[in-house]
Amino acid sequence: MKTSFTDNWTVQLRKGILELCILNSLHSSRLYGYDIVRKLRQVEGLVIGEGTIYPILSRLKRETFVETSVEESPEGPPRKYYELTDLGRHQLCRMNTEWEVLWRGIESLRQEGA
Amino acid sequence: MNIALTHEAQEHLDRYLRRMKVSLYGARSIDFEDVERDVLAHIDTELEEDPPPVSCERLEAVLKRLGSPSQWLPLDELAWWRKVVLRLWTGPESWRLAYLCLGLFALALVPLPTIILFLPASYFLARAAVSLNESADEELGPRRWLIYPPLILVSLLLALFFLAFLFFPFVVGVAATLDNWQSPALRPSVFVDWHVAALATFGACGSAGIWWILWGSVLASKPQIVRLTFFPFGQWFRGLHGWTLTALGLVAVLLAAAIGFYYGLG
Repeated sequence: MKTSFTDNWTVQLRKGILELCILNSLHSSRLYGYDIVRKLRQVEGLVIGEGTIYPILSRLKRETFVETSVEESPEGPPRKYYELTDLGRHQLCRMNTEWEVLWRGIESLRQEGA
Repeated sequence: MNIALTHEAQEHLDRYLRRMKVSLYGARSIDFEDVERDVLAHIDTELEEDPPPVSCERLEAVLKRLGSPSQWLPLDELAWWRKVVLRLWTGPESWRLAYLCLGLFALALVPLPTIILFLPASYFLARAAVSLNESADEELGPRRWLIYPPLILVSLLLALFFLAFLFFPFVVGVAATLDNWQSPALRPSVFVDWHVAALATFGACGSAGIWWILWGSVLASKPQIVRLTFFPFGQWFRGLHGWTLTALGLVAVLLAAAIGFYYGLG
């Protein structure tokens, strides 16, 4: 497989699952933007350009899947926290289910081909 | 931003934020101001441990991890005008947009009334090409020879208009002062009669000085007026240059006041 084809495919794959990963990162607690980036950094190879996360957060906010609140921080300027709305939790559940179905399907194909 | 940057780092950040604006502004799926605030907060957090002023190298490391803003949105989410320009500018070696700029510019130079249509069209297309190139952080290379002619011509015309705008109070001041005082040795040579020369200087400096103080203050608080008008040649303009014009205006007014006081005018 040519390197450019693999690179392009990897980029598209990452872009496709970034929204799911961002919503999952907010599942258990609210976070501010930088914390979300830090969490996603731990997933190797997921984030190429960290800036891609911020337009996605803005889009999720427009879709009312997340809401924001600003709080004073003892460590510096006020921070903007993101947390899932009820609609966001519902959407996340649906996306995780889709992901499960897709992943199982791909795994079964892989095992057939192995 | 809450961290202090070196001058070089601040300019680098300003360029990055301009690229971000060009890449994201107008996209309907996002709120650009929200994204900009988040990105600035991200940079603040990354650099808060660094001793001030933060250097350009440290800032560059953070911006490199953020990545190029032109890669942040999928094509179908971009503003419509950006999609049109991108279709013409299909990659680093594409010359289509550059040829279109030059073609429209050439049509504008043909002595027809259509210059009114073709010159602005080639100018704005050239501006879009340069913006797009900046947002992709690429080199224009030889394409600059095709893109820059309309930019240079229109910028020169705008510069002439701007200079006339700044200096017309000289003429107005001289004419109004001399008419007002009905000086006998009005023309042809004002330098024969020093009193007339003083009157003319009083009028010119007084009116020009007030004009420059006014517009210098405006440009000092909104330097982006010059940067946007003369893009891409005016990016060096800062608020300090506006204050320089204000200071020159003040000197002119003081000179006018001194002349007025000396000659008992006003």
